Amino acid sequence: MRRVWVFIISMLIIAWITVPITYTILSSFADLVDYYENVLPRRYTLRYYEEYLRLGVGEALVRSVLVGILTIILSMIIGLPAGYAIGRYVFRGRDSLKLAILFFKVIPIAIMAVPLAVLFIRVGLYDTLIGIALIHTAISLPFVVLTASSVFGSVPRDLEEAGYVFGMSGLQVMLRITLPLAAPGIAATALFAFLISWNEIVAAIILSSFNRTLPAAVMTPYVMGTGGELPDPYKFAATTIMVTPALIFMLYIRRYLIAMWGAAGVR
Amino acid sequence: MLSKAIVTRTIAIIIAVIVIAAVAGAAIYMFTRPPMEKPVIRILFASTQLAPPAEQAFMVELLTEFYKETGIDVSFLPFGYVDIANKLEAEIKAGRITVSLVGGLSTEIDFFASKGLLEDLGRFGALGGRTFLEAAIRAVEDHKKIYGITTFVPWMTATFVVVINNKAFDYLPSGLTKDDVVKGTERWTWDAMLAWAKNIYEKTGKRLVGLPAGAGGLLHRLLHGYLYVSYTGYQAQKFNSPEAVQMWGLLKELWRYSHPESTTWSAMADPLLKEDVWLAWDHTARVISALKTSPEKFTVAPVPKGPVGRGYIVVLAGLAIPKGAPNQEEAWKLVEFLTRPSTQARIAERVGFFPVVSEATPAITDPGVKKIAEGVTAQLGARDSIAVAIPPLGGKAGDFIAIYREAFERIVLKGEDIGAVLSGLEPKLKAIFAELKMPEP
Repeated sequence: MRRVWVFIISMLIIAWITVPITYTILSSFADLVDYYENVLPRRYTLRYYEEYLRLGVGEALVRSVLVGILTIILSMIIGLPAGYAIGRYVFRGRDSLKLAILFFKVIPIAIMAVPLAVLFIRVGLYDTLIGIALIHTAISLPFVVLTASSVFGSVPRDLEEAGYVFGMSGLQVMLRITLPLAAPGIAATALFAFLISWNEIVAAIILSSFNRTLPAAVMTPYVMGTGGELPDPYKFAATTIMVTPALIFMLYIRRYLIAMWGAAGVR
Repeated sequence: MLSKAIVTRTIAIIIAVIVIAAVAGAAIYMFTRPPMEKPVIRILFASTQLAPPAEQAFMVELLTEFYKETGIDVSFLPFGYVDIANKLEAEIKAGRITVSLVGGLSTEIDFFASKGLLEDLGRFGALGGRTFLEAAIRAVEDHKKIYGITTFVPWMTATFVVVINNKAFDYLPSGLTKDDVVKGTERWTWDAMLAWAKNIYEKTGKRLVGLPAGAGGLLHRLLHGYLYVSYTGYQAQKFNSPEAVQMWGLLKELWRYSHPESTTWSAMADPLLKEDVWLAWDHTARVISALKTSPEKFTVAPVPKGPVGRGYIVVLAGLAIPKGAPNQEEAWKLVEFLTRPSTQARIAERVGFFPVVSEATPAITDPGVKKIAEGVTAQLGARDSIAVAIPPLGGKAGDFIAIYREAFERIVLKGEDIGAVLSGLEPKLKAIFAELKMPEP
């Protein structure tokens, strides 16, 4: 009996997640007139995607992927050492430092937008991918540092010490013991950094002109309907374009997440 | 615990994937990016209008012709208007402007002008071979009075209309005919619309009136530009008056027959197509996709009239050049191109806006656009019509709108006393015009 309930509930949860995604993707191919007549579309078309491609959405997608990867690299370089220090060592002001890291999240990016753009123009980072990646790094760093600190905190200290006992150097311990054990967690952190960058829109719009990222190119005009309203299927197509790469990325990285949660369950 | 080999392999795979993705991504990017060719003049045209893909594609097509004619390569990029404002402000502060031309509603351009972000277009002289419509010239003059410069050149115009699902005509109340509605006669009043909505509700059990009362909707325009003008003759002057109380009473009644989801809708095209509503009031650009998708289903009518007349707003989009923008001469050439009668005629056929020059009397072929054009013409031609423009309030526009929306929320949604709400809000409204030293419209 209990198994049946577990089954029903898990089915409900799965449906809760997959039904909207499936409906979105399906409707994004629906013929315009057909969409408004039938709940499930019967005639399909690639029209919306073709129009988007013609308007440069494909290039925006590539830019977004590049910015996302740059964000991962930058935030890992800065965030992992910081996370390690906070997770591993007890020092004066550690808690206030943790709090200070979160402070950035308090200020809405829209308020900083204008001064930030002015600064970027002066420095020459305006309308460049690295410029957008830098600001995305700044936005994702609090998450990266805090999750990395708990990831490193969960690596048993004994194992690191054992490494020292057997004559490893600090760097060797880091590369051979700590990082491998923390790998699943780091992968999850990287996923978060990527997704934050992928979905960020305010900074991306203000800091770019010709080189727009995907949300900047797709979200404002197509999904939110600024400057004229679009029929639903166009919005679904824009949403599908936004969601698919992120889904693929998540499917790939999912194994590491399960490894992490699984390990946590065993411990 | 994972074995060491698996972990090492895992890390290797992650790194490999990142590297491959980076390289491939960069390669695709390099490949797809337009090659750096001969020094073509490239200008950026940022617009809050014509953002939908089909309209954008049309602009790209139009701008390709412009390129062939002049050799000027124009990138057309749609933005939200807050984004454009932020962008212009930042670029002007830093002294490196990338945007050469801005397209937006006259109210949006008004906001840019109030922040001192625009160039005076007076020095470019007049554009020959075209006659701008009276209402458009008046809007430009209004800005000139406030800011002392020519802030924009009229680009396109639009208005708000009532779109009716043809099924609704089976439920007309007694005394109202289809002809009355379509032609906008004496009998097509807001009271008649209420009676119609009531009749539909009583016979079908459904609340089928649609109003764009969502956060992104334009309901405030219905209040200050339509209902207030139709009932009091003014947008703001008689904000708190017996006539206004009567008007709010009507709206409260009408709301009882309006679809409950109205508070979430920003545009009526989708609810109309889904047949969630049969009678809808909205901006032409926000219903046009419904009419283009299924023109045979709908009828476009002028707005109903009130005791004083048939109040309606003429919406105007304009073109402006940011202060210190690069390639201003080229931008002006583009302005000339976009306001040319032949170009104007084509814009009217392809998007939910209409020409601002009288020479563009296009033979419209799209049946949906034709229907809207007919509705708009009927509205413009109705003898009792009172055309108003959205008052140019610069940075205060948001406060102005908020007052009407607050009144709607408190009176209609929360059921507060009409007189009390209006008396409470009136000083705030008066303060806006007093501060701007403007007569109340």
